[in-house]
Amino acid sequence: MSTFQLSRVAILWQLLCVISVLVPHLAHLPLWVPVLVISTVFWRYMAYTGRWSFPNRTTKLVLIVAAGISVLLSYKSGGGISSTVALLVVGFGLKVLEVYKRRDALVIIYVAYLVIATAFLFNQTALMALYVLFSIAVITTSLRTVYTVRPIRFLEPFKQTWIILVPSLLLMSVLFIGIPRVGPLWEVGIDRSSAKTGLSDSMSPGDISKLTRSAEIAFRVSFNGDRPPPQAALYWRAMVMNDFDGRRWQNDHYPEPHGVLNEPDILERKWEYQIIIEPTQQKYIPALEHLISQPQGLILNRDRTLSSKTPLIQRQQFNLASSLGVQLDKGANLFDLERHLLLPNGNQKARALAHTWWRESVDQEAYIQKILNLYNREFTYSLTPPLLGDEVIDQFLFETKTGFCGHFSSTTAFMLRAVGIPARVVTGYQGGEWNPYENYLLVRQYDAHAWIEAWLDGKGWVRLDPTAWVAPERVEKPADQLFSGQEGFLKDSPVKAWGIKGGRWLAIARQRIEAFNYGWNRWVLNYHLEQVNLLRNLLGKYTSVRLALFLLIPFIVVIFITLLPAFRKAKQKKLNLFDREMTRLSEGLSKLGLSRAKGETVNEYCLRLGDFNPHLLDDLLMLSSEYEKARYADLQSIDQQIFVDKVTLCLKQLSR
Amino acid sequence: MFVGAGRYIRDLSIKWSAKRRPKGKAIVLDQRSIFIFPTLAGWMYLLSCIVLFLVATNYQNNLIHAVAFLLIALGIITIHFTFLNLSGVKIAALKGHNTFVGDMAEFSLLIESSSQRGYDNIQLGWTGGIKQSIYIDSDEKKQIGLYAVAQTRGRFYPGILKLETHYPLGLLRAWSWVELDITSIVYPKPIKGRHPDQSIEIGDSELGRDSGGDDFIGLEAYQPGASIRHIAWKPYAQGRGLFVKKFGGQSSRQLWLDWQDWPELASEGRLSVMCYWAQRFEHNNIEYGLNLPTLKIPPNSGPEHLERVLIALALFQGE
Repeated sequence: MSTFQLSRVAILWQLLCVISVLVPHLAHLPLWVPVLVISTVFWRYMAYTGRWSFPNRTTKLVLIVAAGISVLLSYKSGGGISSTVALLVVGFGLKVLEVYKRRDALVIIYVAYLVIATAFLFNQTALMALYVLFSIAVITTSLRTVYTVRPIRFLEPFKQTWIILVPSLLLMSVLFIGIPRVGPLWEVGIDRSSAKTGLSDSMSPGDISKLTRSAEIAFRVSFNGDRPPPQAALYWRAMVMNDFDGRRWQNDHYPEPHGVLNEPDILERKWEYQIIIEPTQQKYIPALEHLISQPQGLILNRDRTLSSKTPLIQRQQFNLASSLGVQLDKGANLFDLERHLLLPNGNQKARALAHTWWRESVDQEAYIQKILNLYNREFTYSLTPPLLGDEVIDQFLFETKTGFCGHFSSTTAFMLRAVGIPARVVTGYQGGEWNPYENYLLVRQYDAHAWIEAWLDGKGWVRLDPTAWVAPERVEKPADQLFSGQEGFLKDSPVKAWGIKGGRWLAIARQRIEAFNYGWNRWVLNYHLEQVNLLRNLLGKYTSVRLALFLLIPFIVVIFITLLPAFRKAKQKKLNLFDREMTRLSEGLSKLGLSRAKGETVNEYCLRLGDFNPHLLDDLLMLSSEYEKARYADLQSIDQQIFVDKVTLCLKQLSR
Repeated sequence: MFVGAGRYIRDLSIKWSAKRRPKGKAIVLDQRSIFIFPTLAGWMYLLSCIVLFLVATNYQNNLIHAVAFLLIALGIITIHFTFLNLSGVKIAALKGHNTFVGDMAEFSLLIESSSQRGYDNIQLGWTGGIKQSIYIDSDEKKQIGLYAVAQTRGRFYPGILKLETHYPLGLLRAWSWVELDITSIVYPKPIKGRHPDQSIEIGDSELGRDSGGDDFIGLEAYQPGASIRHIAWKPYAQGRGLFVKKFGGQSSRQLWLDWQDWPELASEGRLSVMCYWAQRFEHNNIEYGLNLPTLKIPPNSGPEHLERVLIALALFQGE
């Protein structure tokens, strides 16, 4: 068996299998790796056509050493999984040059299965999944050709592979749905080099407007009960900025001392929703105000925001619940009032204006109304506001009078603190785009927003959105409709932005694609988060017995269907009548030691019986000749009854 | 004690498999006679699946989970396809060809599909013998010759036939042991010995020259099929054309291969020498008879006669 040589078709499929596995890794491998593998495949092909000879031992040794050193050099900083994949790819690229025996082929094929699966560590799109399926078909074909002796045309085994692959895909879906997932068994190295995206944990006036250049997806939300809250209520709180240094607002990540959420006094409409957040390399988790649930594994901050314990390096999903329309902390004590009043020196003109207005106002509401009126009268909302110097607040209030949400919220919070009203800046997202095909809300980076929260007497923390005073449409319309005329909008992402600025059909196509991606993310990539709920719905109750049945029944069905062709001709020919009669004769005579010997032909047997009783010789010879005619000449004309009678006669005579 | 128990279990399993083993002239393989178990390659494949499952779990990557599940499903489905590649194969004994001790005896088998499927890469061989890989199309009857070394004189049963397949993916091995009702007869090994007619001490070369009867009658025009040893080369060399020497009295010369002629040899030796001379006489168109203690065959010649004589020698059971 070890001297088994591969057929030519098998070798061609081997080479194809190596190439197909290499393709998805092109993006992250150093250039020399694909070059090396393609050269070895080419060399092997030339050897196959007989034009070149195989490399000798020395050449192979030099190649192996050189490739090993090159991998080490390319990944001296330790590329984690990427370097492992590179090593596998290089290794089996070199293996291609070996003279082919069955065992060599199997090594290549099994490694190919591993390497193609690791493609999903780098790319998890549906297109990649399709490609991997194709590639698995190629690898399986090449495994199949190793075990085929029938002469075949090149494409034939590929078609036959699908006969095995299609039922396997059915079984795979059963396993995928049913097999419980466990958490990571040990720490794995994950590439942490990616840059942070999304909001940052500090805010200076111009920051948010940078995000409006990006159409990157921030997160997706689906609501239980399908309909989303009204657009104007969609304030996604991500981070709260308590400290102001004159220019920049800073987040303190201070966790809630008791670590638990207080039940709100008035439960208005409760919204339960799943949020799937794209990786940000940061810890914040946006949530609708007012949060009433705290998922396991997340940290609740004192300012009622959530953060993750580790930066989000992968897309993650959380189930949250919020109650809209209630005040954030009614009745609670503001235990660090001073902190929310603290202002650095500077911006004297603004401070003076604040004091003047405060004296003129009867209460806090009246004072806030004055600020609102000012904005409404004289200020403009713009994505590309002029740059500000050192006295940020003064310059904005008295000179430029043009700004984005960051400017308005920062300035308003300053004005409130200046007269003793505790205030803080909140950053997050406002609104989102509803996808009617998959019923989810898509929030992009350009939906980023900043507003403030003020501590009003008897009300606690109350949300104020100064931007809405200047440009109410910012809150009422989705950002893409509002901004599409402005020149800074989506400046950095012309490709991703197709269909956002474009016409209606493009927009529908884009929404369809996004709906598909959402389903893909939720039901495939993050299936482990949905699994328990789905199985509970499917099985009624989530017990191990039901789960086992759920796995078993489809297995039996699929296996039965694949076995059907075998049952198609299950009716077996019964033992031939003539054989049966000869057996009867032989068994009947076994007492006399005259049974038919192993390997003895019927003719020999009959002659032997004839020696025993020469009177019967004629009958026996007739039996033998009739038997041979019936069995080997396949003559249907032989009278079976006569044959049976004859056997009975002989049996009687001989036994006497 | 454990050894005893182990042996007991092994004996039981041998008995069990022997009971399940189909016997007969023509056998159709079915689930009762087919065994299936993973190959070494199959275990390696399972190991790869486990590695993938661990990678998937550790990276919480559902798509790698999917690949691992797909490969596991592929392995499970393959069990059935491997089984199907043996189930429904019909194997029939055609003929065992007689041969001499020490030679390879050929056994002709007829293999066909009793289902409507074709089969690929089935290896056949007698246990301990050389394996042969074959494929069968759904409507094809394939005759193959399987060889086994004939070691002892007499009726030769080649043993249990093993049919085995790893098709389609080599992950599993399905096999079947079959007791085919087929034998051949093994003649004694021909050994050159003393000529039975004790008066003639005859050498090989002389015999060649002296072939046929005693009396040279004359020449006769060559006809295709005539023995090349009887060609008269002299006239041919002289350019007179091809002639065959005609000998007379071929029937006048009758020899007996008699059991008593070689008193100095043991019985197997006698059989071998008799076997040798039977072939020589047949070769040289000398009529010969066989006289064994249990059997007497009158002198004659021709292939049927030779076969009869050889079979008698092969099956001789002693005095």
